[in-house]
Amino acid sequence: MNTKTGNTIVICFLMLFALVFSRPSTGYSKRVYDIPLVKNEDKKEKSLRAFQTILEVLKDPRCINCHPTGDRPRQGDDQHLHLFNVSRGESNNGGPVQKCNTCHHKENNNYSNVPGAPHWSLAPKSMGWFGLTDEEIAKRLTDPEQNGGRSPEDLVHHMKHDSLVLWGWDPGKGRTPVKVSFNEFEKALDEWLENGAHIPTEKADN
Amino acid sequence: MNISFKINGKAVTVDTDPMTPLLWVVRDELSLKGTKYGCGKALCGACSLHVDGELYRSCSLPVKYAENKNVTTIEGLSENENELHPVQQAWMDINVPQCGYCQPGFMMAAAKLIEEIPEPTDQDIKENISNICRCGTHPRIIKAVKKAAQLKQSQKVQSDE
Ligand code: FES
Ligand code: FES
Repeated sequence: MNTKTGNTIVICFLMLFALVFSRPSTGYSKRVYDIPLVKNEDKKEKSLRAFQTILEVLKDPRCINCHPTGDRPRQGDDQHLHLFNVSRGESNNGGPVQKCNTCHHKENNNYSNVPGAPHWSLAPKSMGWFGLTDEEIAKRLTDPEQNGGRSPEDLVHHMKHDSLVLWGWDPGKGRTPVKVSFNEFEKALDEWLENGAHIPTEKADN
Repeated sequence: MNISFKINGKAVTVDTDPMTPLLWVVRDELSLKGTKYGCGKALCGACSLHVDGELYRSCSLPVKYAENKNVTTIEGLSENENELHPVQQAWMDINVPQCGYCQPGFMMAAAKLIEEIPEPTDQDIKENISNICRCGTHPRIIKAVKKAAQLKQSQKVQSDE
């Protein structure tokens, strides 16, 4: 081996050494090296998986019973039509004589055991989900034309903080709370949003 | 806690737990026994009364929601004893009650109904009054509501003239 070849080998060795041992330290390396590895597809999957948890909440009787696609809400875990001919009315809060407030108020009533929460009323018809497929619910929920102009961020905020939504986890004696825990729901909302707020779509017919 | 409101035009103050159902305040504190206790579960409508002109099932209405408002019970439905409310007149004309227990609640619901729907059909009445009568006076109630609506209309015509 002549001197020139020897020098070349030493230089190559030093470069390799420098490359291996000069990698940035842990926290930084994660950011630099991991991002290109998370494909958009993975994020989409994460978001869609989180949305399935959100759907479980939306379809829970405590939520969907007052999101009818027609004019009558439902009651109970068996989701029977609300007794007393309760109807949507012009403002989603009951008919001209019997309103939601005829019986329901701002809190659960420990005397009559009638459930209650602030602004107790039916969701507007455009937010009716009962009997729809997951894809149809997802589309309605996220369509600003139908959801009152809400962005995904607004939706997440609404679902985390609205007192009528939160009632689902504190429905009062004799009523089953929403089956997904609130912590799980919050986590799913964050994951859904952070990973692109994707929703399931109808599969094209073959 | 002191809670003040007007009942049948008279100012009252009661010292009670704000969550007490208005029904019990009306019956036990204010001794107005026309408003009835049927189920206590907002199911039957026997306890119906008006607060600021809206219909409520008072067994499910915490008294705090009546604060500073106008409560009307069956005792205050007519302006005075000589001038019956159209619902009272119609109820007498059609001879509606059987045992009578459910009737004050029905009458308060009927009074609200003819305010909102001046010419109610059978369908309107069935859809908008869901009170329960265990004596089965519903067919007479339907007749009487329609009659009350007519009386109210003719009173209105007379007063317009
Ligand atoms: S006593 Fe209030 S509805 Fe039956
Ligand atoms: S008249 Fe008896 S319950 Fe109605």
